[in-house]
Amino acid sequence: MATVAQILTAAPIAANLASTAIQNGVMFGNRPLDNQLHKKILSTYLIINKIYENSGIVGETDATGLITINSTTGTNLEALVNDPLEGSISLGSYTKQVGDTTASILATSIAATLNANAYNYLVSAALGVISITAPNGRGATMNTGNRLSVTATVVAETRARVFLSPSRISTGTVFSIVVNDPVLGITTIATYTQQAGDSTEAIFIGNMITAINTNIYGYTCVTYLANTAFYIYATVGLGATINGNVGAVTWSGGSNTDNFSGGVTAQSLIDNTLTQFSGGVTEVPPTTALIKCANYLWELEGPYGIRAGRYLGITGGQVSPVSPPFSPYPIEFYVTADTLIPTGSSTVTLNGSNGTPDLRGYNLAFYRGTFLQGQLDPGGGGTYCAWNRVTGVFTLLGGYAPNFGAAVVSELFQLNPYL
Amino acid sequence: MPISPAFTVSQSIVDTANLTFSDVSSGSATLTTRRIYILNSSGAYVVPTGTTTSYIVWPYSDASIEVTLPVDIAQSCNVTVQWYNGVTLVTELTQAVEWDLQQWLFAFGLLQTQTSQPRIVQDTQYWPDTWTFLTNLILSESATEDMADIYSAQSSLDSNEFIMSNSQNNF
Repeated sequence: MATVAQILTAAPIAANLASTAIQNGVMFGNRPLDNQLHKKILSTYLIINKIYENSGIVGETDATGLITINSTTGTNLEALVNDPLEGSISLGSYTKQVGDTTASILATSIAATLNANAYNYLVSAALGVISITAPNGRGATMNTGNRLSVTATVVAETRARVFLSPSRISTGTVFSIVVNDPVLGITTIATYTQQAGDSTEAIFIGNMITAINTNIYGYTCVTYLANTAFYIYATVGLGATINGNVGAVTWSGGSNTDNFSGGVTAQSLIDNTLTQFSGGVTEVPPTTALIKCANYLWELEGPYGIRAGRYLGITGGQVSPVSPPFSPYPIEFYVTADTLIPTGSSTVTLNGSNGTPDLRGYNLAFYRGTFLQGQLDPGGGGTYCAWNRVTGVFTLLGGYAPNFGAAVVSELFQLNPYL
Repeated sequence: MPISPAFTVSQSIVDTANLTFSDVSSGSATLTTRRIYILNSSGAYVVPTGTTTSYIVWPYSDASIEVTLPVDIAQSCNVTVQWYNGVTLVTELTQAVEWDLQQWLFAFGLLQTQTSQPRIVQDTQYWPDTWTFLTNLILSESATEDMADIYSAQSSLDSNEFIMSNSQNNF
């Protein structure tokens, strides 16, 4: 059923359609039914529209909040809303992926995740700006109270490490310290040549630690138990990505290896700027009196309002219909080649199409030459008719050859619709 | 940029004697106050009850002002707003303005009666009198808005006042 606004939008068109139908004489035959209908529709519309426009009636506008992604810095983001109806809710959480190489791509990825929220918030992104539109029913209440916020799971980085304990071989032996770096690949970060002065394992390990700590890749070497072994810590920033990769000390004819482990990637809030919800407008609905009068107008518009609604694409709404107070007037005419049922015709569809009146839903009493016609065959060549009030198909039946009930010129026909 | 004067007037549908004037001027100037003159078609200045001047003082610090007319009837008037810097008149603007929601509400009341007593429209003169009433209203608004002819407009509104005061004979 149409809303008040829709009824008002359709009314001028309905009045025009009614006027056209009147001019075509389709509805009236020789006897006008209501040749003032278009004026009644239009005048009723003018009154209601004036009151409607001055009543401060407004539809709801949904508020919109923004999250602008400034850069790809940070790893995750969770959007939170203090919803006036739902309370504190999360629209979803997103963790940055390898493919999020620009702020714009990252914003699009976040928006796709947030848009899958269970609270009917619409989330989209364009040019690095995530737009969050509140659902219906919140109106202007979204505009106050800093309702949009973001948070993140913040975790400090733990550097992965390998545990190595090479032993001396012989003076002059070259030891290579090699790691499988997730960024650089297999990389020799340092070399150490065993010295004649490496008279003990502790001295040898100590010298190797010193050599490793001169590397340019950010790996750090730390002694273990008085230089009996050492740890090599991965470069800051690699986090968990290096876990499982090998770290080794190799020499001609041997190696000492371990896999990096214990690395934890740091997590932080994705670099963003918030813009709180704004632009929400709370609906001011029509008063009961306006709805009642609009329904009256809708009934007045009748099939022309429905047809106007079709033109305007009007569907749905909240106004309940009221029962029509009147049946259409009778249609009465003498049969000619131009009447609703022309000479020689035995059927017409009264469904509002092709300029016919829409009598669907009504019962129909048909008078032929002032005599009421039944819908059962009286036999003996008597005429009768058939009326389908669902489809609007009206059929003349019975009679003698050659007409068999078809309309004969100058016959008096009266179609009398009633509820 | 000099001030380009402009104002609007709206009528309250809840209390039709209440008008709200809003200053929608653009540009800038040193201004301290405004005056509103409401001149009706009889040549009389309309001011709220208790006002001793022929104008209404509208402080410049207020973007809008609510004015309560002494009589709640539909009127078409020439409204002049003057902008002052101290006692010096800087600029002014005159517009023909009509407030006629009283009569539209009367017509709406008729419509509400129709919805509860639909057979009232079968009275011979019901629709013709309704159309006469609406025609007067539309002509009045047109005369005011399009022609600034407050005299013809008020004549139409007065005709409707007669219809309203004798509604038992017309509807």
